[in-house]
Amino acid sequence: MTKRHAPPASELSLTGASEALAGAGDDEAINRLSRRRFLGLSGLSVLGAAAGSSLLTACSSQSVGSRIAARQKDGILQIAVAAAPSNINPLDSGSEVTRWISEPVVETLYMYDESLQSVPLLAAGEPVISADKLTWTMKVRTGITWQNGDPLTADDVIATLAHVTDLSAGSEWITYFIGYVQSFEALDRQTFAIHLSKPYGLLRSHLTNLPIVHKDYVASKNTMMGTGPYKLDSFTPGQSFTMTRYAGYHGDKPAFNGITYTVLQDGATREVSLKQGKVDLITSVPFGDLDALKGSDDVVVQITEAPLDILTYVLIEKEPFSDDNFRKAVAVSMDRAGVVQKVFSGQATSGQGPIGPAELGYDATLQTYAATPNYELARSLLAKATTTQRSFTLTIGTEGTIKNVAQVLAAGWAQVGIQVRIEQLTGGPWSNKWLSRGYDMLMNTFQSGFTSGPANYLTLAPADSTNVLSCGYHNPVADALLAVVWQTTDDKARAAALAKLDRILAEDAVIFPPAYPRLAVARLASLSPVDENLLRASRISPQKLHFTG
Amino acid sequence: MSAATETVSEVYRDRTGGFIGRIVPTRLRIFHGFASWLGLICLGLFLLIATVGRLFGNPDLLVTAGAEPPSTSHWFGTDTLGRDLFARTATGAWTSLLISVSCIVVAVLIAVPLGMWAGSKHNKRADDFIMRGLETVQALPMLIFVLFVLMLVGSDPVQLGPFTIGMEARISVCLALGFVPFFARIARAATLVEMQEDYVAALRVIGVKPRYILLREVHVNVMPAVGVQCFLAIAIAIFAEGGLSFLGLGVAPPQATLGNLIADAGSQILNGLWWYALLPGAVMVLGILGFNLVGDAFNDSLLGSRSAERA
Repeated sequence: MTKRHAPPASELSLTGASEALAGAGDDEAINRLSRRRFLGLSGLSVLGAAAGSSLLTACSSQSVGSRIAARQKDGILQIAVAAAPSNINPLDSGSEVTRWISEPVVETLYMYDESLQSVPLLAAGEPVISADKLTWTMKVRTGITWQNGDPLTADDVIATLAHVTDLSAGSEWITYFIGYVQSFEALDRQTFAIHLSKPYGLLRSHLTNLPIVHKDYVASKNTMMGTGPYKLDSFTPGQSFTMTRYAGYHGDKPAFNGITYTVLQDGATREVSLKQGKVDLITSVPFGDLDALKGSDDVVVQITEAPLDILTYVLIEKEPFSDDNFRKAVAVSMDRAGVVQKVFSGQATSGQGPIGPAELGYDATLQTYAATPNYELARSLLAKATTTQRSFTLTIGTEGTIKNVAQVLAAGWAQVGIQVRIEQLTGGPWSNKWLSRGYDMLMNTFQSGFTSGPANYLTLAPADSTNVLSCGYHNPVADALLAVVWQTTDDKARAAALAKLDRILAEDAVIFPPAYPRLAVARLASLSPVDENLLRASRISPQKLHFTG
Repeated sequence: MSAATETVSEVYRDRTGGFIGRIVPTRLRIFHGFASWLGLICLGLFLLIATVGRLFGNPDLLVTAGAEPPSTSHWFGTDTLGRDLFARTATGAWTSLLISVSCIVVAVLIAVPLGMWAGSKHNKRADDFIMRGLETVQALPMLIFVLFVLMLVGSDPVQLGPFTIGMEARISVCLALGFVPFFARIARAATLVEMQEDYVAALRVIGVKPRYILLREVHVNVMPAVGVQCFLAIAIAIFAEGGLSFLGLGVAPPQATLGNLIADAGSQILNGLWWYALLPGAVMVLGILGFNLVGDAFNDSLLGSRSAERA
């Protein structure tokens, strides 16, 4: 019979710790650091470190007020943001991630005033629109210089437009210009013209949001050259951005010597940094932390309705959402109240159609869906549905808020027997799903203030049957209303068309977001308030703030 | 009684002490010493939560308006979405256990034949080829290697006939690939030792085929060494799965794993929700500590006593 042997443990150990155990009677081995002794020592070390750090914290306590006062003497505004782009070109992205950082550096042809009306900034006046509404002619102001000393000219505007309409440049702005902007030209040093293929009333909105960049820097992805009150001195990708005041700024002299943006991805870290007075202002305040922040005397939380949307699209050209009854069952069994309370701590409005309270065309009387899910109605709608499919994939972004929204909704839909697979994708793959129509239901958060001001036109694009983002919805009335929204220069006519469209899309269960979240920023009490009107268009405008202490 | 047996008995007597020695049956005396028993208790609790605990509550149901501290109705409290945290922790522990055990099984199934083959072909081309290949994989830290493979395979479910390969299976396989070099080296080392034993030479002399010797005789002596390391590897796998889920590369929500529970809890401890991260974290520690210490006990008992026997 074969003798069963084993090789020496020292040869076999996965971790190398078993040598002490291999020689069971070996005193030397037993006295060496075994795994068990190591675990014990580690535990004691952790306890010791915790006690030591508490003691050090207690010994080093310093009043927050005196720390803030000492720090603010340098005249530098410290802002903590949740994210920073790898490509800092403000022409390539309209997201708040890029634009909150570029806000003090670059300016637009028109700007929003305190009542959110579009007024000239770099433009010398109102645009002259031809009788056929196909040519817009504008002048840029004289005497304005870039942060490198060069004068602002019409060529800079033309270079900016050329960049954002160049398919190969990869600018997000191309979706707003393609199909409408045919060409553009500089007529003289200060004058330029934009030629359109069809009337495009929304152009004024875009010119109020599109930053103008120095012609030599339009393609640069690692620097910014603008006409704003602060110039970018240096930045560490993904970590911090340092700006100093531009002495040659054409407008009022800003209060701060400089602005520093620090990226603190974790919401609680931003919150603690603010409470400790290490930063003056934080963006993207976690909704779950609002109560904790409100309880602090040194901190002020500002919350306002803003164009902060939960993009929610279903692919109507494919089962199961091609079935009207299935779609409506999903819409009525959506746990809107759960999302408002559990995800946004009550700082959101229950969702109906695509247009939210801060956006042009919002209709507060539209109440197609109750805040609490109607499971009875959903079951009866499902019973009428021709599709037998009772599951779908919900494709969301990677951000924590949207993940929580998806989980609350999935729990609600499970009550009526609809099983949901949640798929989390980063920005690029998520957008590819949208463009390639490879989704069942898409959801993500999106802030449109820097592309549409107090409106969100991108949200409506999938409802247009001719749009590249179309979800397969074909309704001539909706298409006609969208044409009015895009083409009219009359804001009242646009608002009326938007309201009608909002109702149609909600009632047909084409676009039905669960909630309209509010925008929250928090600041130290020693910093002047952020203009809440401008905040409704996502603007923080740090160049307009000052220390009050 | 031989000298070797006497040595082993002395070790047992020394380490179990009189009391444990009297109440614990001889066959359970692999658990000698406080740490081993602590490991067994930790592992028992972990397995209890992962198996029986799953029967209590629905992990996806929103049962309260928001986060609530532990109470008699919700033993571990509830999370910010109002879900029962004990139910989620138990489900998470089960998922983590399933992924970890299955990954070790897959790793052993791949690694042991490879390692034994390499060991039987010592210093030959096949040995060199296998070992250099495994060293290439080992050149990357395991978690980095797994992250790399996970990115390559993506997150979409793959349909293989009637079977859907979900994220759990994918993580298991990726972790398993990361463990293959470790187990293969252990199997190879054990095979090398066995191949030099007299019984192998004797079997060769009487004309037994090499394949038979390897599969029927050497194999049974290699497996104890591999088996002991499995416990330690499961602890590492639970930790690695937790790390992957923490980074958002684990199973999709709302499926709970210990890693994604801790990740979701994140900074909630700063808002006073101490139970959110602490309790799932404690269960993870139970599992890791339990598997580690029980693995040590087996290592000590099986391999240690054999070394003593060999001496």
